[in-house]
Amino acid sequence: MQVIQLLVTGLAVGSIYALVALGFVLVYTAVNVVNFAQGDFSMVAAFFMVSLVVSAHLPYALGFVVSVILAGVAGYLFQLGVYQPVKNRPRNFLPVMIATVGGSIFLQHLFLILYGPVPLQLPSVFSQQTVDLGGVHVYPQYLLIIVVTAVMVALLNWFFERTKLGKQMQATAQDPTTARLMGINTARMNALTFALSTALGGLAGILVAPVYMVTTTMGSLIGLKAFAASIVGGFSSVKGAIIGGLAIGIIETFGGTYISGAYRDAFAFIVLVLFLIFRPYGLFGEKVSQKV
Amino acid sequence: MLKVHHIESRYGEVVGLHDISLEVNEGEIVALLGVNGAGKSTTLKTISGLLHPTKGTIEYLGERIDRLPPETIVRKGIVHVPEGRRIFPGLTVKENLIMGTSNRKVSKAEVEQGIERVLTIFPDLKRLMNQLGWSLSGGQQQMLAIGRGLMANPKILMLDEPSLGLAPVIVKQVFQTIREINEQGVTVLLVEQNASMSLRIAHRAYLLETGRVVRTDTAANLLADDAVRTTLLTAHGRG
Repeated sequence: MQVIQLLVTGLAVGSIYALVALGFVLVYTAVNVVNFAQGDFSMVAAFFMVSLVVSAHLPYALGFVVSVILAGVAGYLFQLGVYQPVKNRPRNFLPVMIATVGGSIFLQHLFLILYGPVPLQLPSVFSQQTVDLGGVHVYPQYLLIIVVTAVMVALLNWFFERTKLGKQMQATAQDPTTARLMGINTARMNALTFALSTALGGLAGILVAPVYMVTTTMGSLIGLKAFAASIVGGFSSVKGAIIGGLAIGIIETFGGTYISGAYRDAFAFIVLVLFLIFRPYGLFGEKVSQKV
Repeated sequence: MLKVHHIESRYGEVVGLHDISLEVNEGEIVALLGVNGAGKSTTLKTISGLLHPTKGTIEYLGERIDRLPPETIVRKGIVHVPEGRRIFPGLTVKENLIMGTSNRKVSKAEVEQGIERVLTIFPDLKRLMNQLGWSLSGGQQQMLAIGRGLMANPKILMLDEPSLGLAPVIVKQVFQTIREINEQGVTVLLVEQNASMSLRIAHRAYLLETGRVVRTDTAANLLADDAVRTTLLTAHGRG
């Protein structure tokens, strides 16, 4: 029974990493840079959620939706202030990367000023501590995380496979010059990609907040592990990000229980190092990942 | 319809076009001919807005367009089918065609109509509709690239090296199709290294050399001219 409990926990934690990793991958495939502030939008949205639901007493579901949207808006502003000014630099990978690291530090300290250093608590929408599923005791919050993530992945799949806008975003990622020649506003597509990615990160932050505390640095560790998950998945594949995220979540949950609780956070990085040595292109990445 | 007036274009410090002037009238097929590096593709890129001229002007239907971005120019009906096909590799044939309608608001019915029109010109695409772009052969990609351009409802269709890298029998088909498209009322600005084939379907042509127009005449006159034959037709043999 413990195995199933751990599996639920692992899948829930992994879902969080998968959502954030999706953000990494979407931005990377669209504009070929890694947004190192991706994890921080989980923190941003969690604070919004605390303000809206705990302080302003908004209904939980409404606060949830508004916080996710606000994380998307924050991501839009972020690309406007951080990505756009440096995107046309020669060899733009490095300037953009450094700019996003700077953006990450800025966000953490902005929220430190706004909310102070004391960790805040976001209650779960469920009043019960655990539910009993045929002898298996699981946290309902974990089930919520898994269900919401699954729904989100299905929605994303529909958006990218079934809508013209989704296809235009893909076209922009695959060949921006030709996309412009077709009349696609690629700057808008890229802004939308940032907003979507940070909204996904925000969703992850709100879902995980009741499990941990809401702190200004909560996004760093989530971001790092999601980064590891993206590498495991190949960094350019949506499927890879999801499977990589779930794999990291399950490995660290089982490793933390059966091998060493003290090293729980280390397992993601052990997996990352092993992948970088033996399979740097990840599970689903192409062997030659260098774009021309 | 389209007037290019003494333009100069640069890639950073390198001057790609020194002094190009040309005119395209409604209903024509105009060919830009010249060897590699003569500035043919650069001319198209400057017209479609991927490059902005450093000198000179471009006028389309009486309006200056040389400062507009490409996504605005394509909305006006100037459609650039770039060199090397540039099919979206991860989208299906159908999705690639639909991307061609990104220059305007279209209803589902209009999209279906556009696809029908493309399929009457390129019936071979019909059985490939759900295949991904990267899996097509060169000839199929070229058909798709032109078809995708037609989906934009062009007034002027600019084709950059549509015959490059294709088997001779396919090349013939492509030129035949360009003529058909023109007969349906689409003005064509054609960039080609295959001068003999181009001159057979074009009304007029411009000869480019190192970023300058060195000669312009009707296609028939150019085809009959021995000097043109030696410079272009033999150069084509090398390319």
